[in-house]
Amino acid sequence: MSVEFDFTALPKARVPLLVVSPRRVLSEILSKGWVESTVPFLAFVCVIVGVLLTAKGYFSVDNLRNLAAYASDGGLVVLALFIVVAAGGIDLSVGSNFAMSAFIALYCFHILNLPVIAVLGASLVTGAAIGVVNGALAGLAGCGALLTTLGTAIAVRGIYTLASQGELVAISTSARSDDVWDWIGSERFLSIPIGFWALLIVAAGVLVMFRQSRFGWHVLAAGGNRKAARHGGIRVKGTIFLAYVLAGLIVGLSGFLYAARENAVASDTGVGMEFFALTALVVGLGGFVPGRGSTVAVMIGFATIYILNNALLNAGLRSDFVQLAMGAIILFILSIDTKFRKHKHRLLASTYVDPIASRVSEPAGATGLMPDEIAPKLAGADLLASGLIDGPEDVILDANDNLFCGTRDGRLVRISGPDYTHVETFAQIGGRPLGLALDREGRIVVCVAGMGLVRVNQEREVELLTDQTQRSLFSVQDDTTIRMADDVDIAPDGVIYFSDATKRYDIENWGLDLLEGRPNGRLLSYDPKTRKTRTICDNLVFPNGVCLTHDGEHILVASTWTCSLLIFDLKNLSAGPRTFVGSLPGYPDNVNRASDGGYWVALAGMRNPVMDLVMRYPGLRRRMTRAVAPTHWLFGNLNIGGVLKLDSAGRIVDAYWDTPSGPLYMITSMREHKGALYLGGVTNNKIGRLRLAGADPAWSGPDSYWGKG
Amino acid sequence: MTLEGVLGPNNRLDEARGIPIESPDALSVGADGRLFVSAGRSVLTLRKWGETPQGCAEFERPVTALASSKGGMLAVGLLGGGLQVCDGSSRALSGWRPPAGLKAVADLLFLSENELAVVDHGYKPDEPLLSVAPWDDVGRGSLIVARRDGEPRILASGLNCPMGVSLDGQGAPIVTEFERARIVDVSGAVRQAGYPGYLGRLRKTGNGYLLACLSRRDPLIEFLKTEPAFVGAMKTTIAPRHWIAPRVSPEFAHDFPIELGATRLFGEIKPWAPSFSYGLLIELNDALMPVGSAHSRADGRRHAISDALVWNGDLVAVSKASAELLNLGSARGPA
Amino acid sequence: MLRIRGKLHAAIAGLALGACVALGAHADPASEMAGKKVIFVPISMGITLTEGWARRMREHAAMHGYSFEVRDAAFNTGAMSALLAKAISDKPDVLVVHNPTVQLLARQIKQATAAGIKVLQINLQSNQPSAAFVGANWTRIGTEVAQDIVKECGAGSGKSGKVAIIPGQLTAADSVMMNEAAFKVFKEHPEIKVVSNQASDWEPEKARQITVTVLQQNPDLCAIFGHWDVHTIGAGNAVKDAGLSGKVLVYATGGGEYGEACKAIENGTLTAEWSYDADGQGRDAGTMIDLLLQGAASPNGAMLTVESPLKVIKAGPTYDPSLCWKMPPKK
Repeated sequence: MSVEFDFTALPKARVPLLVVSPRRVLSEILSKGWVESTVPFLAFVCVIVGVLLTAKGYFSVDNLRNLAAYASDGGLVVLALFIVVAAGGIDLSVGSNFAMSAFIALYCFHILNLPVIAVLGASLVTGAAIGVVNGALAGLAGCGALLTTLGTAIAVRGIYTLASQGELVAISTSARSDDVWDWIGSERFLSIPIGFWALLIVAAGVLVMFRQSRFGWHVLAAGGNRKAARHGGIRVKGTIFLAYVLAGLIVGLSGFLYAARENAVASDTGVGMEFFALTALVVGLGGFVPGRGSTVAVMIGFATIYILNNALLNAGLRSDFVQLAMGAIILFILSIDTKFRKHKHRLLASTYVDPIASRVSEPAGATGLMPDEIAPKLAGADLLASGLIDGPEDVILDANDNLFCGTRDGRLVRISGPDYTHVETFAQIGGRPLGLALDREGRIVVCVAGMGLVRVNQEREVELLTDQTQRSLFSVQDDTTIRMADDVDIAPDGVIYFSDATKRYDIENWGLDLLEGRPNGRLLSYDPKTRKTRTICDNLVFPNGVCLTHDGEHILVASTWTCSLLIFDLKNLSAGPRTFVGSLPGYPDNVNRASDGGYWVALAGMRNPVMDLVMRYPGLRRRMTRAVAPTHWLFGNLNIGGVLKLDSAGRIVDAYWDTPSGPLYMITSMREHKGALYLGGVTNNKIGRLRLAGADPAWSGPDSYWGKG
Repeated sequence: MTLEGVLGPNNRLDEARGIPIESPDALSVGADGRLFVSAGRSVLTLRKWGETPQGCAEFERPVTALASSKGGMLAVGLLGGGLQVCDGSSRALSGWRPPAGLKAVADLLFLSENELAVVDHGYKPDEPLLSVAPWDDVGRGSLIVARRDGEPRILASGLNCPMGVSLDGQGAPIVTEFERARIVDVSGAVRQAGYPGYLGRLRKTGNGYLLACLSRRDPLIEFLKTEPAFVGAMKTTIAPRHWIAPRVSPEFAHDFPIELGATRLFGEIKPWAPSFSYGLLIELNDALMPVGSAHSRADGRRHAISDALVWNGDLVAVSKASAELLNLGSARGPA
Repeated sequence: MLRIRGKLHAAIAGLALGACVALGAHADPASEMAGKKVIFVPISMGITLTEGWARRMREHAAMHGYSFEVRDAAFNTGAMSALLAKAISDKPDVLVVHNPTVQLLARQIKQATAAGIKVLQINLQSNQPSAAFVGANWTRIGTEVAQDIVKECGAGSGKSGKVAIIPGQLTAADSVMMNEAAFKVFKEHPEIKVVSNQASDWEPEKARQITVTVLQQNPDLCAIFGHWDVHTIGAGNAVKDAGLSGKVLVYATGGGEYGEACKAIENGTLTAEWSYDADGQGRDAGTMIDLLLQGAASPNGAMLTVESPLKVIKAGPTYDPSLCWKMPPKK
């Protein structure tokens, strides 16, 4: 077949090497999971900066060590409360438990003269025992957590006061000293106080527990939705009970560390601690949120409150005033955080769409062929499988005249020839199957949005070929994952070329990529021999249809929003694309070979002067996404489409339209097969078939690619 | 006002009985009880619903307005500002001249047998009003009284695209403004504002008014009004027929944009989809507050209601989009 | 806010004084004390005891050109050790520590001493000795008060011999030593029965509640031994409320400020106070700081100790209000 275009004579298409947009960076950060912790984190930074500016030498190594030494007991209690709150409970007895455990430690050490390890054991048992009481009442018996733990708090405080009145003088005047005791209380390991090590280890443990362990997940499930957790087969009561016991145990450890450090307790030990811990938790989690396991955020919240408290005290403010100031600051942080959380979705929505000015050249080359200028040839098409399929984005026919297409519910269906009335599920793939191609062995390679590239053989076995490519150099968002594999074609050497239409939108919102008008897509390749995925060309504007030219040496890529077809030279892919044809009258979707050496181009929608103009006003589009409800966003006309026929040099030679309100309105794919054109539409529920007068009745796609037989 | 409550969507227009009329626009009930309906360059007439409309007059230019007097005269507005008054047998009567400088006749109303109120919206025939008026800030319309054998009297000028005239309870003229979606009197005072549509004619009924709306308000167009740079570019670089604006017809057109929520699924448009054309007829009480409404939604075809009145106890309306005379059944209340 | 404003005024006054120092009006520019740093960590400010000390110590600081800073723990023992840790990190030349218990700050006093900081313990000492101590002789006070109680309530007095002790914090130095001394005296007088020894956390309200309970159980109580006048006034009020004024003797110790000690004695809330004269202690502490900054040390490494002279203020014919000192009103 003769090639009628001169690649080197085609105009080069401009592809940016790097897309820089501050708004995009912001929006991508906002869409990250950890953004939930942003406000606590910012509060933390503010506190740090505030302290840095006002207190000289506060962050000296010495004082950092002090901070670390005194942070451990509070930090551990915060973690303990965190576990209980995550499980959907609350523990007001942490302060009393803390004092009691500390007292038990001192009693065992100074009065009973027990070895330090036994002292530790006694403290842990004390803490855990109080946890057992709480857990049994609040978890197993189902009493209200607030009142239950308030009860234990008062009771334990009473026992503590009684016991300490009797023993404290003796403890204070005890002369016992012990190297291990003193080491735990006042020494450092790797220049970090021992207590702080304990805090780090427990925090890491809690982190791992909530991220990795079955118990941690159960706790979060029980806290998030008790009923759902129970239905999910989780022993909710037992889980909550264990959460209380674990919390008690951690408080016991905290009391032990306090005792070792201070070597004393006073009647006010642990008083108000539950409120301190609750405050830290609320600041860290941005509210009283059960079922959330963000350990890092909680620790940031703790650090914020702890440093704020400490710095204010050191600044010479009285502690009652400090409490007032803390209360005010906490209310402030919370109000910001609640607002932020409430508006995050909107903020994200309004910053996510990040439009850029794009000027699409005036439609050209289709004069006299527009829908209002010629007869609607598609009005004469047969409708196949009408109402039996949902969303055949691409259609393909195999050598046996069977018709295949993907559906919105993640299936690849086969519509058997020659009458095309019987629709059956050929393979269950999942995701959203889009572009299709047949390889030399007759296997179907499927682009699946939200998944990647999948291959289905004649035995109907589904194999995931690839779902990620290399990460591009400068991106906040990890863009290794193939987000919207759109169309695919296979070169004679077996290498699969496919488009990832947009890295920023999912299949439900792919149209928003138009409002953005940015080069968000890329052309990828997958080599079945090496099993390697490569990014051929990044930063393309919605690369959609992919089609090997008839000579097998070039590849056509439809760039939907620029209304053009790009062409790559397979022998020199790195040279980038040239424009095969531009100024199309509509938005090109899939491109496929025609029997006469030309190409079919599906138009998913039509351009219009207003939309073309709006594309030059990025600010307008951005403001629109903020001021107007999404249903009213100005949009490309996807309610009318059609098919363009190009000759082998890319000139438009014919156009096929349905009547304006006809059933074949948005054409996303078409295949010529044995003298007929089969038409698919991603929002349609039928496939059109148009007999082509004058087309080669023997020509088929598989033959064209892989030869007869 | 939004399309909620008494203005909530229904299918009354789509369910109404219809008689196809070629290019209908205006309605009028004659002194003898006949219904006149304009059809392009002619005026048709019916004695009762169900009859085939009979031609009763033909003009050189398309008819844009109709009005009947108690004495049996029929006033006819013509495209480009023409005016003719005929008697009951469609013979032209002398002494009536269109006021000088009239650009259009949007609506007519006999104030007496010698006085005829003429609404001039100010747009020339080559200016597609629906495309242009929504983007205009200058009021170029006026309300003029033409007098038989007398000089015309200007009642109000500088009106923003006036489309219809009626009389209030005291007999003073009140005028609808298409783009401003409000009803004003001749002093320019606003009688009622905030209607959710692009206003057409206003007709007095026994206990209130009927307000025909050519389309509904669209949040996107309202938003674009705050984008002067874009609107300026649109006006200078794009032909008015391609402008984003309310439309008469719900037909899909390849050269007109859509709103995101209007994309078809399985070829169908959802009734609740946003649309630039819409069928909306609002029933108002004496205080011009809505008390009822009839709709043809995004998936309907009886859009662009240009006129409506009560005839023989029935609510009759004109849909320009479907080119039909509609009968919505008996009008509410004591007609 | 008033308090902050007060602080500001004090700070401005301090600045003014500092300016005077700079002018050389009072200070010897060659003084080796000039430019040195003293930090005071009290149990709490806002009480005449610590405010009285701080006032005198500040005067000395202004006179000699060293800095004087207060880190207020405000009755929070947990906060106090953290504050002290920070104070030690700030490496002052002299650290003035007011121990809430004999043990709590012991380890830190040791650390500070090891870091070369001279630690002056004021009034309430710790288990841990340091460079110096200025304060009352608690054993003597405990003994004297106990003896007085024996005289009033013991054999031959016709009274019940029941005594309630109300310490501030059981493990604070004053309570540890006074109780030890008092119990030693009471041991020799078996007719004296201690019916309560419950700490008030230095809170008048808590002392009042304790007293109410004790009086309910022991209406024939003879004496209350409150370890600090401020909270003991709460106990005295409970006695008054029970209509037992004069029948139940209320003993206290304290700083002897007029508004607290003498007024309470005048209105019958307290019976007697063993005053260690906080104003005088403040001057003693200031002097001791001056000496420490000049390198004073006990030759054998023991604590330099200044024992506060005692003033016994008693109701009755011998009552002498001049034994109290007056805190000047805040400017």
